[in-house]
Amino acid sequence: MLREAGTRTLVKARDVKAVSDSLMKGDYAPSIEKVVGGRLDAATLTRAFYSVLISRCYSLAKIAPEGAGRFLEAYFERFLVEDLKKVLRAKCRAAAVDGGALVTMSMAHKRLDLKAIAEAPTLQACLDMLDRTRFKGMVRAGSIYQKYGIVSVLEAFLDKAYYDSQVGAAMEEVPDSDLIDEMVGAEADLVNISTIADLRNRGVSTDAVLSLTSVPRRLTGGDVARLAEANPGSIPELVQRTRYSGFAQKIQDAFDSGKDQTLELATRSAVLDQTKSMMVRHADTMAYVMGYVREAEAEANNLVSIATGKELGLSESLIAAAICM
Amino acid sequence: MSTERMAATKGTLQKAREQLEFIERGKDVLKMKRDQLAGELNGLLAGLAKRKEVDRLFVEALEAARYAHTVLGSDAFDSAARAVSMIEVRGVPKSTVGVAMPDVEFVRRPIPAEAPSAAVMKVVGKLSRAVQGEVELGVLEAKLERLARELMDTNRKVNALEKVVIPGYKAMIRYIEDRLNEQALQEFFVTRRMRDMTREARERRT
Repeated sequence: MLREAGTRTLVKARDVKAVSDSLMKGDYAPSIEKVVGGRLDAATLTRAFYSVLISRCYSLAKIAPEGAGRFLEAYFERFLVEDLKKVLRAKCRAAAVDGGALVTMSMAHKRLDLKAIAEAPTLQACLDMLDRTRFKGMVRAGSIYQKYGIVSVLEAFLDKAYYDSQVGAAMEEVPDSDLIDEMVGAEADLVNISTIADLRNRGVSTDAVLSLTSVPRRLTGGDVARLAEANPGSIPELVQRTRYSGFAQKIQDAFDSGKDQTLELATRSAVLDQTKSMMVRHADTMAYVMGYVREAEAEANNLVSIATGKELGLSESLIAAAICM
Repeated sequence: MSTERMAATKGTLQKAREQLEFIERGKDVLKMKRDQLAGELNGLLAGLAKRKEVDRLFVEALEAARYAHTVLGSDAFDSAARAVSMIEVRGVPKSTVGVAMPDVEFVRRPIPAEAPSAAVMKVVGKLSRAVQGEVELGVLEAKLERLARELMDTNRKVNALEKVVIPGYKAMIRYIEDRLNEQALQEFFVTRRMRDMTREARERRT
């Protein structure tokens, strides 16, 4: 894994080639060599970085003891969820799905054929197929999508199904389950807050928002209801009153059009902050393993942002604002 | 207007006068059209000031897109962008002062909320306004071009009438009038001479 100083050095790299050259000394070398071949650009590097992330995560799940391994496999369904989001976005506009952009395309998924879903002729066919898998309820989410015409509704449902059915169901067998519950619970809550803020900002009704949020973990049902009923502008103030008060300013910054903060970055950064604090306090537990996984994910996202930012000629300060450390 | 071989008759004069009157009326109508076209042109010219605003929006959209692209990475940015509807316009030509003017109607506009990512949502908002502004500016520039061309044509016609056709007709009328006056004078002298000769003959007999 890259240290913080290493990431900062990459931010200062001259161009994409310099970023790639620096990474050729570490874990990334084989993947970069394999994926990049003769072509060196941010898009190709992005796929190399995510292939390293996937390989890191699944090798960990393979060597982990049974309960922990099953939990990690369930947790890593997040990559599948991200792929499904890409598929749904394309299906919404009846566009073809770029198979190369799906990081879990080559993997075997339990009771879910990603290739068939990606090749479904229509969005409805896609939703029907998903409804017959662990993403049951997708067709109902589809009716909310029909009403608002925004794909975020479907994405919110995928997140809800992921946290409620996938991760939630695998929690019991995991060692140090209380710590993992706290970590995953905080992540689910932060994603919930972000989803509520995002959907309310897009004009989705309170009832629809509530039907698309996962079961609150550390937040109370009242907190979630208040957030879902609130005007988007008052959401940061309401978050300030919850145990995630540190997230309030980040949401406020994301709403402020003059700032470089976005809801995606705000959520990533809040989850990483929480991870770091748990890792320090519980270094010899499963929480540390979870921390490693999240740091690996943050590292992949940071490398993607650095390579893309360098290719697009963004200033160092803007690239630094786009990464989470 | 050539006066050679022109039959200097009262009939020709009358016809020439009528034609001149008709041409002058036509010139007045063209002048009115020219003024109206100039007024339309002036009214539309102010819209060109929007160019700066549209350019600024494009720069802001590009900056936002570069940042969103950096935050999300190529694949996620591309996939988020695909979820947004394309802008769709339809041509609806209209007529102003008899000039066929191009115009468009927005059939579909991209809605920022369609973008699944908040970062891309900002890009869509700015880019959509920039593209709409660019389309409106394009239509405005095409209208100005048509109006300017029509104004030039009309001006050329007015000038041709004022400086060539009307003076030509006036010269022709003057020529016919002069010829008719000469003829009248000649007739007058002939008549007087005949009268004098008749009087002299009568006096000689008495």
